[in-house]
Amino acid sequence: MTSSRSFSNKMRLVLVAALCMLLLGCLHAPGAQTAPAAPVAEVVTLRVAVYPIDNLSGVPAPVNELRKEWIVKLKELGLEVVSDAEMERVFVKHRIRYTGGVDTATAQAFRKDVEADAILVTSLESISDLPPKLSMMSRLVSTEEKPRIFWMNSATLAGDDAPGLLGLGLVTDFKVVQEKVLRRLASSLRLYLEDDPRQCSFGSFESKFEPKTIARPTPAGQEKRTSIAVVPFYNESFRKSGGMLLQLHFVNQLACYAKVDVVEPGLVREKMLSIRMVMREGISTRDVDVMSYILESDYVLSGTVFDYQDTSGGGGTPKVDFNALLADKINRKLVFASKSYNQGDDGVFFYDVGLYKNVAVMTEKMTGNVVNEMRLGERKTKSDRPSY
Amino acid sequence: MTSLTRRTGTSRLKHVLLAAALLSLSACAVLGKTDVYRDSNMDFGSLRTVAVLPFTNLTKEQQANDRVRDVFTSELMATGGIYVVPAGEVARGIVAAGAGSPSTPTSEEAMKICKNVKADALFTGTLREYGEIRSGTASANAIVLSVQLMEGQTGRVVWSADTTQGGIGLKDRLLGGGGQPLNIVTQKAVNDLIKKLFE
Repeated sequence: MTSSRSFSNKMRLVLVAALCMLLLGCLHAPGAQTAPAAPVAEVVTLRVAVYPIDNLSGVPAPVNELRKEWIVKLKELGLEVVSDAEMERVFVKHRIRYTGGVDTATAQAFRKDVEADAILVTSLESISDLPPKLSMMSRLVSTEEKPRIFWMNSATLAGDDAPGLLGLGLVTDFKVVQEKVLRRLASSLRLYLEDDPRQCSFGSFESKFEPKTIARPTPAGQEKRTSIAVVPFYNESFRKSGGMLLQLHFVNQLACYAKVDVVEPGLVREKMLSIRMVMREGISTRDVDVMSYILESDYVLSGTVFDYQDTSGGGGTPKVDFNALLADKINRKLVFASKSYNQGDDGVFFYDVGLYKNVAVMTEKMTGNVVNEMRLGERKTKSDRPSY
Repeated sequence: MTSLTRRTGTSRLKHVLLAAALLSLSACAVLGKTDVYRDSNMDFGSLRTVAVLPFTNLTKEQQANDRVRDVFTSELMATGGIYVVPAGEVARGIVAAGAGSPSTPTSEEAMKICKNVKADALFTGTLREYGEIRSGTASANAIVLSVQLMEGQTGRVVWSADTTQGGIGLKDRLLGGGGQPLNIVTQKAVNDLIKKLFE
């Protein structure tokens, strides 16, 4: 009698424990539903033009649908979005074809023609259906005479990021992943608009993503405020647009430093095209001279990507390998050089603990560590957005 | 008399053994130095800026030479003793010098390149092995690299060394596992060369 009662008690405990674990699994699953974002408390009346998404994923993607969903999230934040018809008119009138950045002429066109305060540039880094995966980078660029980056962030999620117990956390629906990614980007933008000090907290730096080699050949200047132009990295990887992706990841990290002004990549592209700059195996001293002069920047950041390898179909290990070189305008020499390489399974010994399946997440952490080693001061806690 | 002969025989044997031991030791000493050439007249302390030319790739791995060159450049710069001209600047210098074969320049071309990129000397290299090697069921990553240093003023080779790192060891044969990752093996090889340069 006693034994049967204790057995049923034990059974009950086991069931309760299993239920709790199940609930926990659901809580951490990427598909967990969250409440829709409320409008920003003090609504910032920013009129924003949302550019068509720049597809850097190397595969065909439903960019129009993604953009529509993204606009819905932006409107929820209380932003005034320029209509598609108005934007199309500006594109046609000024013959704008490039949507991966904002140059001087484009910024002026949007300011004068549709009175836009800022342009939201979004790049698609990776996308897949099986398992569902989405990685996006977005930035808010001003339409001032010299466009500057107000806000930038990236969000990445895959359906198999947190499989949980017995695979209960696996997400197979792409829409769920898409919703989560857009919500993350919207939350970050919201923090910026609200001037929240957490707007640039990227989390802790993992030591395994630190650069493997660091050199500081010449001492860097001690300017109060530094301007850095990041040029597209020289791409030796098999990934199409690998150099541009590394450029964007570095811009994303640098944009979060209080004493750093990052030159908008669209502006960098404009100037490189205007002087017909061709970089052979990376940047030369002459390129540094010209770029820093025409972009009025103190430093030029460049480098080479050797590997930018993502997983495909849920298999394989992501791999990233690059170097970063920071050249000084004044003495025309490198002030910082680093070499980084990591694989998704670095430091993984038991049951895939610490395994990374997403190349975008790894790159974000690696570039974060490199920028941290550049000793550029503190991260931003307040936005530098002018009041409109 | 017999004991005297025996004693002489023992001492002879001792002499022979001693001579053999000395010979083997000296052989070892010579073997340890053959992979490094150093010009005794060269003042290596005067080198402040160097350029690293693209390495010759004798392996079947595409871009292996560029990967190894990049690690070599980074590690060399990380020593803090030498400034290494960025690869883009070196490429510009090579084009300006009109070098036919950028990885194996002639003395004249080496001098021109050094002048163009304002370097005191330049490194050239040959990558002979890079990647996974197999022996039976065992496999491991290995790298074989040789590097030369050419002086900018005269175009002479003043230093040369090679290194072999990785490969299948006893542990790999017994336990498997595929050896160390290629990046680690490359870094070890490059550090070995740099150690030979500075010693």
